[in-house]
This record gives sequence, C-alpha cells and structure tokens, in this order.
Amino acid sequence: MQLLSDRDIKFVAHLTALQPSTANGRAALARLRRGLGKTPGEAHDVHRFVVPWLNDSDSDWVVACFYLVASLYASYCDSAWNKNESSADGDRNLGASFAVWRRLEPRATERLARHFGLLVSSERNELSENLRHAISLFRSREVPVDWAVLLGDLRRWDQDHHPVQFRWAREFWRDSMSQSDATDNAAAFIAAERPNEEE
Amino acid sequence: MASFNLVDQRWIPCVMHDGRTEEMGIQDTLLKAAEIREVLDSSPLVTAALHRLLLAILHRNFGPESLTEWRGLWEHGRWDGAVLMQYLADWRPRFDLFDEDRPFYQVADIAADLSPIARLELQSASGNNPTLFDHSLDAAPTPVTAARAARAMLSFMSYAPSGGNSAPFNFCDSPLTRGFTVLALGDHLFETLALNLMPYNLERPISVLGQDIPLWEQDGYRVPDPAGTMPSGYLDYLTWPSRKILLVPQGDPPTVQWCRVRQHLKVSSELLDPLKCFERSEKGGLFPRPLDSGRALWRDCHVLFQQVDKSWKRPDLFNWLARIDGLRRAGVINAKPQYACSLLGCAVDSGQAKVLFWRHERLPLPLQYLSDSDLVNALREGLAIADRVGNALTMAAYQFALLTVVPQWDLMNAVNQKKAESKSGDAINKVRKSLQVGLHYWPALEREFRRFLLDLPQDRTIEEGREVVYGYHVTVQWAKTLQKVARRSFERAMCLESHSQRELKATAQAEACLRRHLIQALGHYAQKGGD
Repeated sequence: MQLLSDRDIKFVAHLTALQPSTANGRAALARLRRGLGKTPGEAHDVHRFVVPWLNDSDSDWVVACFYLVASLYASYCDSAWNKNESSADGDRNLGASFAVWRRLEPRATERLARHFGLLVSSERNELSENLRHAISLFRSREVPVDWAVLLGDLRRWDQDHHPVQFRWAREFWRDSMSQSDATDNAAAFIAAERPNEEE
Repeated sequence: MASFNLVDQRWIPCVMHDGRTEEMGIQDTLLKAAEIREVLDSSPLVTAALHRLLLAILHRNFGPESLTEWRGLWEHGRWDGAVLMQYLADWRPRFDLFDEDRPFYQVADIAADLSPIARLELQSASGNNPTLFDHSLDAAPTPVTAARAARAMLSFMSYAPSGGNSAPFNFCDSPLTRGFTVLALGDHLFETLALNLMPYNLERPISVLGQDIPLWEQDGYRVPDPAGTMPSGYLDYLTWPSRKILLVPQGDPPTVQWCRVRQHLKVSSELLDPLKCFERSEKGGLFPRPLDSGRALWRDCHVLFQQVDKSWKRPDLFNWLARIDGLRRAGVINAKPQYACSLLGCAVDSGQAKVLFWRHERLPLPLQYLSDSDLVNALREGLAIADRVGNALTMAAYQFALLTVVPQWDLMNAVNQKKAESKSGDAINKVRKSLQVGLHYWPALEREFRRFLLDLPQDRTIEEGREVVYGYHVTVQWAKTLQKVARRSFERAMCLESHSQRELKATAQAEACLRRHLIQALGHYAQKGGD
C-alpha cells in the first residue's frame, strides 16, 4: 500500500473543508474550478488556496500537481470512498477507482480499459486533460476518488520503472482475470521444454 | 634433458588457511595436509583429478583395510611422513613429467600427430572445444608451464570426451566424463583426504581382480578393448590411463606447447564409481546421473542423500560417511556432525569431443541426512515446495507473455482464448523465455537453501504415536523465504521500461496469476506463514 505524505493529506483535508453547502464554500469551489485547463501561472483564482501549501524547493511539476488536484477536486467534490470499500491491499489509487467503475458496469470493461489505458500511458503534458476527462466520467457514475493518493501519485508520475502506473494497473486488472487463466495451455507449452529453467 | 618431478616441483594449487594459494609438490601437499585448507584449481576437473591422484597414493600406502585401521589414521591427524617420503623416493623417477623412458602418466613412444597443448585443457579453444575462456589458436599454441601441463594432462586423462578418430579404436569417454564426482570436504586437506579414504580391501571400494597398483608402478601396457576393460582394483581405477599421452617439452625451464594423444583403455561400463551418483534406466541398468545445464545439483540433493531409492543409487562415499557418523554418535570416534561436500563434473556433447559446461557446487553436509530417512523426506518436501513456487513463477511469466502477445486475450471467450494461444504459442514462449524468471529465482534461492539444509535437522518434533517430524517451524520459514524470493524475482523480471497500456496490463495480470499460483504451490504453508 502506498504511503501518503503528511502534506498531501493536510492539503486535501483543507480542500474538503470547503463545503458546497455553504455560500463561502461554493464560492471557493467555483474559483478553484476556474483553474481547470490552465497552467499555475494562469490560474489566478487558485493561488490563495494552493500557494500556502507549497515549498520553495518544489519543482514546477509538483506545483502543477497541487493546482491540478485542487481544480479537479472542485469539479467533483462529492467523491469520497466509502469507509468499507477499498482494494484488497487497501490501495485507493485511480486504478482502484476504475475497478469500482468496472464492478458497477461489468459490460463496459472493454471501453473502460481504453479509458484507463489512455490515462495510465499518459506523458506529463497529457495528464491534465486526460485526468479531467476521467474525473468527469467518474462524476457521472459516482466513482470514488482518493485525492490525497492521487496527488502523491501525480508527483511521482515519472519515477524510474513507473511504480505509480504499475500500482494503478494492478488495482484495475486485479479482479478482471478469470480464475482459470492460461494455466492449461501454459502447462502444455512449458512441459514441452524444461520447467524451472535456470537459464 | 628436461625434467620436472611432480614429487617436489610446485604444481598442485593449495589454498592455505589464510586464503593464500601456494603451489606445492606431491610430497609437501601430503605432509602438510593439515596446514592446507584445500586443493582447489579454477577448473573443477583439475580439482577432482588432483584429489584422485592423492587418494591413490594414500590408499597405496595406508589402505586402510578396515574401519579400525581408518580410525587409527584419522586420530593420528597427519599422514605418516616417513612412509610417504620413502614411497615417493622409491618411485621418484616415475613422477618425472619428462622422463625419457617412463614420463609420469605418459607413454614415451606414441604413434600420433602433434596436437596443441590446449587440447588437454578442456576449457581451451582447441579443436571442438567451444571457447569458454580462451582464445588460443591451434596453429600457434601458447606454451604453458610444466605445472600447468601436468594439471591439464591429469584432468584430461579423467575427463576426455569421446569423439574423433584414433587407434586402436576411436576416442571413448574417460572414467569421469559422464556424471559428476562427489568429494567430502573437511576443515583442512588432511580431513578431506581422510574422509574420502574409504576402506580399501579385496571387495571395497571396488573388487580387486588382479594386481591392483597405480599407473606409475605398472610395467607394460594392456591391450585396449573397445567393449571396455574392468580395472584391476581401485588404485588402477583412480589412475586409469584412458589415453596414451606424451607431452613435448622445450626450453629451460621446460614449457609445453605440443603433445601427442591416442586412445588407450576404455573403462568397463559395469564399473560403478564409488564417488558418483547413478540413476536407473528404464531397462534397469545404472548410469552416472548427468549434469543438467538448467538445474543446479543442490536442487536434487535429497536424491544424493537418500539411502534407498528405486530410481537412484547414491555415491558409496555417502554410505561410508554414514558409518563414520554412526561411530561419532556412539562416541567411538571424534568427528563433527557436519562437513561439506563438493560436486564436480562436466557435460559433454556426445560424440563431438566437446565440453559444453562444467560445474563445481558446494553444499553443507550434516551427516544425519545420510542415515535419517525422515529427515531426507522433510528435505524432499522443502525442495518440492521450491519447485512448485518456481512453477508458479513460470506460469506468471507465461501470463505476462500471453497478454503481451495477445493483449485482448482476457476479453475473449474460452474457445477463442485457446485458439489465440495455440496460434501465437511460439511468440508467447519467446517472450516468456526472454524474461528469464528462473535466472532471478534459483540462484537467489541457493544461499537461502543452505540455511534451510542446516536448520532442518535441528527442528525435530516427536508427535503423538512417537512419529518423528522434521521442519515444523523451519519449513514454514522456508516457505516464507520462497515467497519473498519469488516476488523479488518477479519484480526484477518485470522491471518496467515503458508504461504502455499493454505492458502494464500484462504485468498486473501476471502478478495476480503469481499470487494465485503461490497459494496453490505453498498449500497449507501459505496459511501457516501468511503473506
């Protein structure tokens, strides 16, 4: 299970404190939504909510992640996971969110796989748009999102060997396999050679 | 006239207790055996051949005919220097590598063409030998020292493979070409040689059929028989002249660039080497268990240790060590409950006179394994779990390969899935093999296995009904280790270079497949150990 940073958790808690049931909350969320599709430098309405959480040592990419998550949250703030619902490992990354969607619509697996595949194979410069699209789809189906996990994953998007992408894929594909996988044919193919090869 | 006497010239590589390697002659090697940690060459074939030579000299001088005589030698802690020095002085001329009349292990007049000396070094690039480490050229062979030539000749005499024309018949396998040799290892060379010095009499280690003397004491030459010749006894076998060889020295000090080689005695296939493990063929005969390039020997060590098995025959050496352990437990001799063993050998390309690879493995050897079938069964169970986990990894690798080659496989119905797999079978297996999961798993497991092998005898429980059970705790720990190593091997094999959708999906589903198969592989150990 992924370890969350304290800053990420507190930042998201700060966002979730902006309640749409209050006038101030609604106004704040509206300002945050204006940041969608804009770079941090262009998202003037978002500065007051994000800048206090930034460090001088943060890279441009990390700054962009904070602005992106803030705006995305504002577009889908009623997105909390149920307390009883999570993956087998307790991981609530976006792959797990897609897996929830697949459980809600089993017949849409192929279409979902395309959406998921597009997102998980995104380069940095594509992530913002692909994420906005995914979140809008989640909103229409009430699929949960863990924003603190998402923020942490986005910050590490370009790590060597892509562990973030692999964790998302693991959660999404975990239960999609039938229990009878390729074992029968695999056994036949492998038995024709030497199993347990050390070469 | 060139001369290099193996009694006192330096040629045997001896590793001392401080880790230095020092070359010694035969006399010093034996007299200082307790000060030498081991005899060890970079080639396991040379190492085995050197031990056999030393054992032949010791058997010749000290027997021992019985366990009682052996015990006397063991407790003395050193070989009788006066006896050895007298023997080596008596036969000194026959130990000269370049003696004009009777060069050591050689024949002074051979009707054979000159061959480069590299031919005798089975790892060299010469003739059919694949270039393992060397780039010598047959037309201009690099001269080697006399010491190196002696070692090469000794190992060649034991390991030369069949293949190639010669007279009176084509080249046949030498005594150690097939299978592998097992040697017990003590804390120093004296212990090592003593542990391997099985009782030597008319019946053991092999039957004496005539005058049993080592090669350098023999006068005249037997007529080679293509059907095979039975050794006169163990000394004859340990110094078996499978070839007629002549080294051609040059210069001072002498080096060797050329040699002559001809087929000589083929050992009878009925001879069962007491230092080898045999497997039973379908027709009932016993054959040396071959090396497998894809499977290290430790993975079948339960077979080596097993007293009685309808498919295998363990080395007679292990029967002997079991007797020693029995005496130790009875308080009759002062020995340790555990030593080590070396497994040395090579694999050849049949009929092509080509060595494909060689192997030298070492294992701890708690002697209890040699007489406790319950313990061996527990070991067998542990190795079986390791095999099943290895299979789980292979299945996961297959799953990854399948989804890489057929990305939509999981969305197909069962009929189309089977068709897709069959159609793309070659491509799938190519991808699977490229992952080399076994290469990550088995070598990583070897070190952990040694710990399991050592700990298992200590984990003994007597259950109700007085049934002895081994490994109640240790095997659970071993199962956990197997899981950990399997997962780590999987991660290394799946190291993602890109984050394409295809690769991510294949990896995620392969991991899920590994989880399922690990649960099956570990059985009740999965529940006990948890994950």
